[in-house]
Amino acid sequence: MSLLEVAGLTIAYAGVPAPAVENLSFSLKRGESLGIAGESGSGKTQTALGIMGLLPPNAHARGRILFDGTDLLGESPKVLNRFRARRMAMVFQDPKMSLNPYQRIGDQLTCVLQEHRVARGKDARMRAIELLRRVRLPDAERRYRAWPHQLSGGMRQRVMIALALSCEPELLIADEPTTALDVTVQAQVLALLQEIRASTGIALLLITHDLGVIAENCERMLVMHRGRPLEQGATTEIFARPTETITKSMLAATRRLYDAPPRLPPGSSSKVLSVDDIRVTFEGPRPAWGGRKSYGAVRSVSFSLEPGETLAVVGESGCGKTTLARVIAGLVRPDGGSVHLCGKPLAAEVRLRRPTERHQLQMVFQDPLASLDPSMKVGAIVGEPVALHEPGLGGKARRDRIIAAVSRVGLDASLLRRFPHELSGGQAQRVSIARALVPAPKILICDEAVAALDGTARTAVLELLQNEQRRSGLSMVFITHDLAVVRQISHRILVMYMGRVCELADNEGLFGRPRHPYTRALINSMPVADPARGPRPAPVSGEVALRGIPRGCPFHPRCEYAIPRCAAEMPERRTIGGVEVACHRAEELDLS
Amino acid sequence: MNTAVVAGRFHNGGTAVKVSAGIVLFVAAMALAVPLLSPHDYFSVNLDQRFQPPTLQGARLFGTDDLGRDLFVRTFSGTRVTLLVAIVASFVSLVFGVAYGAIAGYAGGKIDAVMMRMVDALYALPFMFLVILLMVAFERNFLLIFVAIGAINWLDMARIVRGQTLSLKQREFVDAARLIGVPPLVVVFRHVVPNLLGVVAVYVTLTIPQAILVESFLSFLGLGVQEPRTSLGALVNDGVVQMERAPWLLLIPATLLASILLSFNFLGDGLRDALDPRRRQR
Repeated sequence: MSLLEVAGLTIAYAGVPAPAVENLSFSLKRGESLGIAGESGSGKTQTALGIMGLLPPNAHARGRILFDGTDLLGESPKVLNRFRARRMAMVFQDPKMSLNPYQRIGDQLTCVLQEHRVARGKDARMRAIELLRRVRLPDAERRYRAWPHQLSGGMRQRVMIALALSCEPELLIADEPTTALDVTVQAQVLALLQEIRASTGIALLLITHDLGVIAENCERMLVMHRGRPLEQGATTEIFARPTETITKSMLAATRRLYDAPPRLPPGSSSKVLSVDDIRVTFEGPRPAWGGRKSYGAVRSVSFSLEPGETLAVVGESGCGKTTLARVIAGLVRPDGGSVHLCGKPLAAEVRLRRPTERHQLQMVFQDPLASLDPSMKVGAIVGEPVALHEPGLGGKARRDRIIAAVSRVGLDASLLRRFPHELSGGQAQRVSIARALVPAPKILICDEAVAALDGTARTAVLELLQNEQRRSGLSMVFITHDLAVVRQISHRILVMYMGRVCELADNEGLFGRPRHPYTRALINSMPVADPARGPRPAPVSGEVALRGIPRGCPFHPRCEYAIPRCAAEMPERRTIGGVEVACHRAEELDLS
Repeated sequence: MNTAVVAGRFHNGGTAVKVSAGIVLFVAAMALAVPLLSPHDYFSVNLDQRFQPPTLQGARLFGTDDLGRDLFVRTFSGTRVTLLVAIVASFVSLVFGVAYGAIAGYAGGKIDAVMMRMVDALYALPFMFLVILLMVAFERNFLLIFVAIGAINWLDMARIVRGQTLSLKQREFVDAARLIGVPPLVVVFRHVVPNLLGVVAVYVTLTIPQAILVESFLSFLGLGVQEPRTSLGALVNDGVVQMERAPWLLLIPATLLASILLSFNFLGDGLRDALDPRRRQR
């Protein structure tokens, strides 16, 4: 008999015509792993909440959710509490939001253990530390007394998994468990989940938008779209022979990674942008006594950009890539270094730059909703740069320009009367791009411009940017943490770690023969959307240090190739075979 | 956002908002009409008609007070003063406080520090003392009440708006505006202030009751409205003295005052929802 049997599940919200989940059926055997894939709004999280009995009161669920023969739908909270934690548990997307910030890690664990009468008193403490060890939390005894804010994102997610495992449930539901984490940490957490599954035989329901994660972790998969199940079956089968067009396009978007990288059209080798030795230091809060601590967010970064070229800046959160982008845009004043536009030096602050210079450099931000003024309609948002770029245009001519700007990014003029919150993520990001393109820039800085978008919207926006580049010879600085995106759109790639440049190479060279161990660690951490491939090499250990930059090479504490020299001396950046790399052992190592 | 949209959303608000809007409009209309239309006036003393309970006879709907003055007219003439004080004081705090706070918050750095230390310094002044000084230096002037109450309220408003501005200016749409070359003052009033209005609306509706209370306190001290002119606060204070002999002198103005305060609170909630473009229309 199956452990979990969902039959004809429909979840509808009062006042919303389309149900969030419609007629969903699937089953999960003991010890099996099932991946639910789908874009946001496809009902995958609603399904998970429905199984756990966590739907809000205005949701109405119909159908059957049989857990080991008991129908959970319509059971009282008291009965459900006997199932939750003890027989099924859930790990949420954002570990920052799901731990109580006012309670120590250990107390949160012992609380669950005591509530479910698994252990009490000293025994509970022992069990909690044991659990923390099991999720490979380094230094578990000391961390037992730590507060959530003292842990990194990856550690918090490990604690969440420990909480979920505390009562030895038979089913673990993981809702986008690694989406909020950096790639190397994502690989570590997924490896941990696999290890736990192998040792305990727990059944796993993994919800994700990333088909690569499913390919590597799930035996069976279910694709959802707008609340409806599209297809389900063995993961290898669906990857090999998808029947639905939506599945096919989702797979195609994931597989672009294997496409040939874009090539730079041959032409002038003039520099449209050159960035020299940029340094930014952030000061910490002023302590009651003693000196302020400062943190080098960007430490001596240089690169240049040719017309029509896309340079990707890659690295994990906190590596300084966004700060670098903001320095180039003139939103952050650097402590040293210079930015030249077409050979002329640029003022450090956007306010002090000449209008013609300002027009040349525009930016698209990560969160499409946050970058559009919520109190303005789309027409006014796009109209603002039109009025500044071409003052003195009449009402009709201005309106024509606005319509031309939005149709250039593939939007309909009827959207001009909408507010940003009435747009989808992809539409909002197009509006943001339309606004940036109005002053006819030479350089577009994209700060994680597709990170907040779903698969198909992401592909469409990337294509739009590439078309724009082919049409107008736009150069782009593309800030991202996603190597699949990098592979698809960039000509050259700059890899950063804790404010320093590790490697600067062209697309083919970087993926074909990484020169820096950190580059290799990043590439190895990417989930591969090919279930037929064998297991990946073990992910790089450790995480970006929370405070304090290590002496010497910043990556050396996590580097498997580190030698004593790496801890003592910061490697110089030098050119080897056309690749700029900062590693003491770059010449001798073969990392391909 | 255009007025019609706001009005439309406002109309879609809950019952409490509609009832409150009705009460405020009705009271305001009465405050305008009653002193004009009534056969009585608010100042004529009539000693042989003292302490008359409310009755329909002779248009003494709310009875008379200890000097035989008609309470119906006095109540609504007092409402005029009260509403005027409330509206002018919150208008001062709205315009001046929002502009000051938004500019300080957006400019940041030294400008912000100097501007906000000035606010702190003004906070430290004992305001009642200042008002008394003003009254002594100038003649007793109705205008001074507005000046005094507005001067207190804009400080709070400036602090709240500055705090909101500090977080709003970190938002990416402000960066986007800077990048396309929108001048700083235009960024403040086009992108920052409209997004503050929800919070401001709620705070203004808190200011209105506060202003009404300060006005009644000043009147009680003899520094506010002078007899025979009156306000709701002054009427309540008078009513307290006669509570046992003529309870209507307290109950009627107090009920009116309370319902005005309550209505403004509900209106504030409604206004906040109406001003938030993210809020879906119901």
